[in-house]
Amino acid sequence: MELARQIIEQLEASGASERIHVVFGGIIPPNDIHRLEELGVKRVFTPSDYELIDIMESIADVIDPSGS
Amino acid sequence: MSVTEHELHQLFDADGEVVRDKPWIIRTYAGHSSAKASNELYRSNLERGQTGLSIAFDLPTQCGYDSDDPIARPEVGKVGVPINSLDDFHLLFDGIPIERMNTSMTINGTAMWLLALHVALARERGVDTKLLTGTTQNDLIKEYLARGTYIFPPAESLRIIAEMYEFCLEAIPNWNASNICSYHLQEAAATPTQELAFALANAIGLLDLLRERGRFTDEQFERAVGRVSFFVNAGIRFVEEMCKMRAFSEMWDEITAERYGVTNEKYRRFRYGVQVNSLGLTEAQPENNAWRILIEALGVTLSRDARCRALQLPAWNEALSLPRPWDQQWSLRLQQILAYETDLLEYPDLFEGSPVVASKVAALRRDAQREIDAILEMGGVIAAIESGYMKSALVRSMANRMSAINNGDQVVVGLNRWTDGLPTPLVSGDDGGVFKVDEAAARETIASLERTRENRDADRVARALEALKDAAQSGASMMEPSIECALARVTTGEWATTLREVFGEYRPATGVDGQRLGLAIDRVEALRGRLRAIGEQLGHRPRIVVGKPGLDGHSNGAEVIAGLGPPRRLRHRLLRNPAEPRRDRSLSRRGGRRPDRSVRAQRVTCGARPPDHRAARSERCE
Repeated sequence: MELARQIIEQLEASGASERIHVVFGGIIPPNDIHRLEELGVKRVFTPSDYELIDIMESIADVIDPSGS
Repeated sequence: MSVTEHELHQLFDADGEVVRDKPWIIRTYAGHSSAKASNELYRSNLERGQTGLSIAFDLPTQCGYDSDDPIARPEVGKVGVPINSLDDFHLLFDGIPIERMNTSMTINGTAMWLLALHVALARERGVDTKLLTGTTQNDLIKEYLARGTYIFPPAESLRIIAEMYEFCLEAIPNWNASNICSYHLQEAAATPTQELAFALANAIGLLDLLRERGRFTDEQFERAVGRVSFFVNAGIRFVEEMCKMRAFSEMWDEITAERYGVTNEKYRRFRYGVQVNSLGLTEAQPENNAWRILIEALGVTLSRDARCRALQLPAWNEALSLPRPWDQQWSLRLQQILAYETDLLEYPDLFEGSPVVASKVAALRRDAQREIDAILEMGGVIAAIESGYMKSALVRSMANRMSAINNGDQVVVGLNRWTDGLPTPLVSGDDGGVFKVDEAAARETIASLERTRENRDADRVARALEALKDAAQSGASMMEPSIECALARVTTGEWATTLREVFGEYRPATGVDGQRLGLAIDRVEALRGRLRAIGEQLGHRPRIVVGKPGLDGHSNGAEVIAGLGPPRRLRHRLLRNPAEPRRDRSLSRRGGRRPDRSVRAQRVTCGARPPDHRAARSERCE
């Protein structure tokens, strides 16, 4: 959580948060996933997301200017 | 009573009485929040029948930072116990008789410091250090390859390990100065052949070094060979794993006899402890992990000739987060049932004479020997690390594993087969079935660190650090100076900073080539088309930076992802610009060059550190 906060804050401070999207992955407890999303993390992947192509498509959703 | 034909299934002592083997040392990898909280946990674990301690340190302690260092703050007490000084060690072992306790410490970059603290604790308690038993993990080779809590460059790291063997042999004769670890290699997806070969090549590198340094007599060297022990993994293919352990024993016996001329059989014995596999534990249907852990424990206990000396089991929920004390107790009970309820310990080796097992062991030995010969041909284990050979091999294995799971060749129940299941009631409690570190604990730790700094004799601290620096520079042993530092209440960060100033910090080349993941080609093509369209809308090709935040360097997964696509030299750079003010530079790139690749792997450093400083993570590492 602390590391995510630092990254997001630094991106905002340098005015890059509109153009650079942040996704996280790892062993992340369910309760923290919601808190990460509130911070501005666009997607959180856990060990259940093992299908790489799913992950890549999901990241494409995040950066697609015409989508979502 | 004499041994007769029909009693081949029994075990006898020297007097011919039927006996049962003593169980392996039963422990749980544990530690969290603060020295005081961890002490309470250890005491309750011992009351529940655990027979040894296995200490998990937090990442700042493992990487050599005080708890109040800016880079340490997010990590204090998260994946283990924070230790800042001897005062914390007194709290950690309060009420625990260290002279009667086998204590294993998962500590590497700062292993010499933690051993010095343990010796200093014994001295202040008036305990004879010859009575201490236990292990400092202290295997830096696997830190460079797979785990990432190294601090110093390879030559200096190996010098520290060698000095610890030289100190321990007479001063703490029952201490394992290091554990050669293949455990972490399997967590990085090493095959059994790679585990055998890389670990044995590592041990050869260590013993060659001890011999070259020439500080031991022949008799002492033989005993030092006998002190080399191993920390091994056991995965779900448990028959192969059992065979791997037999192959380890046979190969080690051969290496110690032939390469090092050890005549005493006792010093050729393959001694090893185990933590079973966590890589294969799943977040999906996490209750299934309980069975995986049981089966993996069988691989290292069934065969008497290849049985582990000590065993620690993960908990069913480690793919979710940190385990709670109850989860660890559940795993402890598994060991106790296996050791005390079943008849396992009543028999001689069950597999002796099996042609199937013998053939499998021979095949593993043959393949591993070929790999060891290749590494020695390259100039040994350090050369094979510096060239990236071993790391690339591991990352390729990880990519193969991920492909096999993706395309269904490797069945993982609940993950890629039989994925529909009833919801697990194990995670339905208020805590979501996982452990939460008390945020107040870090504040207490820092307050106690400040008290230590106030109450110590500043002159003695300065003298102790000066003596440590002198030893580091002159090539004299740093062990006694480190013990004096511990007694003087030097802190973990001060000890490591002093040595960093002399030795520098190591940053290995990262990046590997040539791995491939098997993905459904039609979806890949569709995605490529979509990314081209997105690129046209954005006005540039989308780029992704793959980073590994946190204090450790478990970067192999990130490198698999970053290394996809056509073979290329990946560029790795720290995300920081030395020209910027200290506290603001954590996210800027060094240098002004535009990235020329769409995918790159980088480590992300948060917090304020000198420019050559490395970043770390926040996952549990054993």
